[in-house]
Amino acid sequence: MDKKDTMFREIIAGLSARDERIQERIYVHYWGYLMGISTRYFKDRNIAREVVNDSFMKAFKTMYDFRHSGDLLDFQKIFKSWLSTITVRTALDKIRANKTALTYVEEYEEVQTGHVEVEHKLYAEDILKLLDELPDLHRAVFNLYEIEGFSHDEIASMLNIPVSSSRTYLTRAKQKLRELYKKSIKITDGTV
Amino acid sequence: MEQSNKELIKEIADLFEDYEESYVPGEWESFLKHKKKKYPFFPNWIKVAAVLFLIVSVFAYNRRDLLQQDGKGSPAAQQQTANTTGAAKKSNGPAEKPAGAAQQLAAVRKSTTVSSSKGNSSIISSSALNSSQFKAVNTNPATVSPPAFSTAEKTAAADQGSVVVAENKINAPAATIVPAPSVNQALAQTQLKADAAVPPAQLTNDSLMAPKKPKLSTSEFLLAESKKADRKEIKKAAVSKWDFGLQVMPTATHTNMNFGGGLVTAYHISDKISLSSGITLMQLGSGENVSSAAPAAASGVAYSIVKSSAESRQLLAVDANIKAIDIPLGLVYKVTKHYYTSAGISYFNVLSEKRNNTYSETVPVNKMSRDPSTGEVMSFSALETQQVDEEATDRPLKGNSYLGFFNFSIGRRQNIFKQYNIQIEPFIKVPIGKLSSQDLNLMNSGIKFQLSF
Repeated sequence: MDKKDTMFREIIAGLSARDERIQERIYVHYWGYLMGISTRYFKDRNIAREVVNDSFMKAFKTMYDFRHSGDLLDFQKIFKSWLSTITVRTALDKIRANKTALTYVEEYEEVQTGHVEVEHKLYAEDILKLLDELPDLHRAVFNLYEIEGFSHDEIASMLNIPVSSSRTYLTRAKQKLRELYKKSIKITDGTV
Repeated sequence: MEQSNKELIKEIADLFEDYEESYVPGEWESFLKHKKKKYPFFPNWIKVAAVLFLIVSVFAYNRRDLLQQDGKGSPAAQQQTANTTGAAKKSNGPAEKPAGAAQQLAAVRKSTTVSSSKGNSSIISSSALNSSQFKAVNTNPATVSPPAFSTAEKTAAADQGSVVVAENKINAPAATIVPAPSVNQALAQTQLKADAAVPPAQLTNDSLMAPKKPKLSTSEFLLAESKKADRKEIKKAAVSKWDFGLQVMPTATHTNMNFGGGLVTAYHISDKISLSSGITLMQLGSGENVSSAAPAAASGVAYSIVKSSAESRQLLAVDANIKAIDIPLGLVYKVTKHYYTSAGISYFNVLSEKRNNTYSETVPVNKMSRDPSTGEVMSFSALETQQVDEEATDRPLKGNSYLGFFNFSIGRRQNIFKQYNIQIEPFIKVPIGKLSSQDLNLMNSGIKFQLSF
């Protein structure tokens, strides 16, 4: 904990001194976190890396003017969520740039699976694989609503889609995930 | 198992809330490369833009000079009329003081441009006074002021009678303006004073115009017309003085095929000659055999020759690939309507450079052989020569700017639409200066395909 505190103090000092050398520290420390966000939006790991790098570039341009109270814990939280917001927005820019992702939504049969309980411990890698099965737009709406915590209105304006579509895509994404999860459980249990 | 009974979606949200991957070493380094790649040409573009701006501004400045020269006739004439009006105002003095006509004439001698108006005003005043003074005043300006009354002067030199004619001509308008010329001195003076308040300018203008009109009708008129025609031509030419175009140019050095493309512009100095420039991004690959370094035994096994370690590695060939910006500046001579020839030089800025060196490496190896007579296996050490390709770390050209090439070309220009032309131009580029002294032969030739408008 002390080591982390020292690092954050160094980051704060570096930011106030506009020291460019602090960039490497920030990059190495937050790369994994931002990569975790980015891989939720893109199947292709290279695109995810590109988005992370673009996000860091944006952050490095403006971070020297980052305002904080000076409290270490407070800084950690705010700075992390600021980087996360940049990454999410950069990812959305990338998705928007790829117009087919927004216009083409694969239709799949709706099978009502209302409530699925988790029976085993979840692993991020497995869930990421399930997320990869979703259409880009469904996945984006799911991430934005369920994980990032945006409202449907915000999502609609961010993705330039109607609010009703955002709701529909979320419902479909959830349904699909439940189905996929059930299937994966059956496969691992050997029931299929 | 313990954490079961949770809804899947909630579980996923919790899982990803603080999910992070572990850092992969080398990511920071690749990020630095990515960062540099974002704007790789930026500093060079500034240089290039500066050079282009310089060229364009020089052209623009020259063009403005041309237009100014063209328009010289009218502003000068305006200036002259301004002078004469100024002189007309000055002429009030002598008009009011007719007795000082001689003094005024002295002043007239000093300035040729002012002389005409002054002369006229003095004519008016003197005509109001008496005929003897009138003659004295009028004959003098005719001889004194050559530029304004050049024809009058010539005729005055020829005979006295013509001088009188000239005088009459000069006096005619003045007489119309001055209503009662010669009743008595006082009357004339008062009238002149009254006129002098407003019409002197009118007087002088009219009196100036009167002698000029006949001149304009002859040689002056023709001169003015010819000038006008020139102006029209220049104006017409000014519309199409600039050519702009896009070009692609496959080129070949003696080893590689390359490709380039860019923008071109040309400024027509005259019908036959134009100045061309532009900017081209070109890729240039070249290979060179370093003959002096070629080893004596390039292949096979050299038995029982022990070479020093310094001799074991020799540079055989250099293969380079350059990306550069080329800014040519050339003179184009239009031979016929369709054919032209061009010569010029190029500014050459190397953006990136990749070099591969081929070395001949002599490596000691252990060989086994069986003696054919005894069948005994013998091992011996030998030196084997291999060819090794290595990417060179040094970039002697990168980032440098050179006065790079002499360019020569001939071309054919074909009009396709109203203002669009296709130009096909075989060319050769010969490296000069530092570029020629490189261990690479960068001489290249190819064909430019250009669409100009």
